[in-house]
Amino acid sequence: MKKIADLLTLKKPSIIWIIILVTIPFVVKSVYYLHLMNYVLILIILTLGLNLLTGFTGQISIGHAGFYGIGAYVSAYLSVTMGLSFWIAFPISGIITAFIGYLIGKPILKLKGAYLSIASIGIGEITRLVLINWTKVTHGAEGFKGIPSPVFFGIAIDNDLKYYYLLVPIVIIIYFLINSLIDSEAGRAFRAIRDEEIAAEFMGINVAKMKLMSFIISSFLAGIAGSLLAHMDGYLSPFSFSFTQSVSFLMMILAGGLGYKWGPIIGVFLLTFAKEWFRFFNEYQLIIYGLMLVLIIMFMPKGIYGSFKEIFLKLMRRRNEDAR
Amino acid sequence: MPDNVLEIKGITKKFGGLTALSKLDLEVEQGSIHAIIGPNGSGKTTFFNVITGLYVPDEGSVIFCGKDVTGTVPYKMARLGMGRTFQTIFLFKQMTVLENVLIGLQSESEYKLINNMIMTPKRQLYEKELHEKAYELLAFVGLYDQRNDIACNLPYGKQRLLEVARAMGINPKIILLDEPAAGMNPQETSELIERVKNIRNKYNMTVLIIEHDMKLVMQLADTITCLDHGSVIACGNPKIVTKDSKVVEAYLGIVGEKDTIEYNKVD
Ligand SMILES: Nc1ncnc2c1ncn2[C@@H]1O[C@H](COP(=O)(O)OP(=O)(O)OP(=O)(O)O)[C@@H](O)[C@H]1O
Ligand SMILES: [Mg+2]
Repeated sequence: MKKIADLLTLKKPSIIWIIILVTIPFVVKSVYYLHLMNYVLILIILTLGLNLLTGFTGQISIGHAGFYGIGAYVSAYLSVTMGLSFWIAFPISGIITAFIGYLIGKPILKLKGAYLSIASIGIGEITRLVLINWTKVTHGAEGFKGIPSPVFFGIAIDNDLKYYYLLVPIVIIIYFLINSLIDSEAGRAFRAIRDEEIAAEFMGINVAKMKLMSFIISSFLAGIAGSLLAHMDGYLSPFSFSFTQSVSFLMMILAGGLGYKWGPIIGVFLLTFAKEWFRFFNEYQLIIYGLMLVLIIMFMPKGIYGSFKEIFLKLMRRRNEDAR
Repeated sequence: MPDNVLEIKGITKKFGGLTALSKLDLEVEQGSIHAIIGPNGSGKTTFFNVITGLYVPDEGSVIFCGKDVTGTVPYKMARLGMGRTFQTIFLFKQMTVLENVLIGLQSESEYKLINNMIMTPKRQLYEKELHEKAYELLAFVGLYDQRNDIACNLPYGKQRLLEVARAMGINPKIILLDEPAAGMNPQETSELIERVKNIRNKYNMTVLIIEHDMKLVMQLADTITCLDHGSVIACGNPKIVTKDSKVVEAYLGIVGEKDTIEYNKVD
């Protein structure tokens, strides 16, 4: 029981999860599912950042598809137009996206609640319009073609299996860094701001600075997620970085568990695969998908992970009380 | 060290047409327990909000430990050593009791990203020290056993005590308590009295306390200031202030005796 608790709450870095991740391709032979897995991993990077911002710091952004797009296009531009290697384009795309996040975050984080969300929608839309219309750099509506695969010591990472093994270590590193950030005193400050901003300020927390920090980190992660997407697909369309996608990132976190470390992971998995499985229902696919979301939000307001964790903790408590 | 930890000079604060504080002067002596009383809407909470930097006064200045700090933002005031609690409880609701106090204790932190992303042994030691200090403060307010509870699940009176412990965590020179006894039962109130005394005696913090409960005020205060319509109408020794006819009038709207004030402690 204790072991299960450790696994679920991930109190100790669990080697088991790493082993599961590494062995998945030996079990899942379908190239199609592996391709979906790669999308899932990329989206986990992005939603880990968005969960830090929205779930832990309480600042709702409905514009993160914009940062995802910026990262993707910066990486494409650096590698195609400027001929730089993936290993340079990848970190720089994150840094540039983070810097744009800083420039945008500084003014808009002064807004509170719904005003911030609406401003973030605007940012997302502006980004999309720039991607469509700045043809010289982005190739406009026809999209950005011919983005090279990363090359690792002479090996081109040019299929889903190889890409999977590029993504896994990146995801693991980011997962542990983000989680130790959440467990640190900075993480406590983020949650304090989420719970009661005014009181946080009176406890010596520079609220504006901490919000900006959270925003910059989430922009950075959206940026590198975009870069990884660009070099996986080799092609970018400006239309994919839409408002709908920004909303779906939030839906994933909500369904998984907003403000839980595992929330984004569960949510991304579930929503990505559920959408595929519901293809079976043909024209009812999206209706059933929507229905599933509504049911989750209605009956599990803390998301799937949050609700199960709560039930599990209650059971543990009851067991402990019985034992006494 | 100056004799007065806090000196307020001619503070005026207006909200549109309403003058909440008008040319208010006040001195708080180092090491004292100083009570602020006054009828509802007399400007007590606004006064706290001005000295802690939430509102910038329209006129006047705030001198804290001999330094002019007028207009300094709240988080900097906290770092300078001004702790406070709130009349309407402002706890970090979803966080545990322990975490609430830890937030107070880490008030000086600069939150360097690298330090916070990697848990070095040095950081672990720091966290351990922080936890030990938190346990001590929680024991002081009698919440040690509830340390792992979620703050919003505590009963009302305990939430107020948690706010006190959290504010003490920033290790303030002066602690501002805004109606800490509101919603407490008589038992909790008498425990509170002992604790506030110890905040001064054991922790050497100057205490500025807003309170309606006159029995509590009389047991605690070295000095009482009475506000009415945003100005000081009386200030000084508790026995003298509570007999002041202006105070009695302001409090009850009628001229009465000191006994009447105590009796009518519920506003
Ligand atoms: N942010 C604000 N905006 C406008 N008016 C305000 C604001 N804060 C306080 N006031 C007004 O200023 C006056 C003083 O209010 P304050 O809260 O300081 O009184 P108080 O003495 O703390 O009263 P109570 O005993 O009820 O807590 C009141 O008339 C109140 O309505
Ligand atoms: Mg008040």
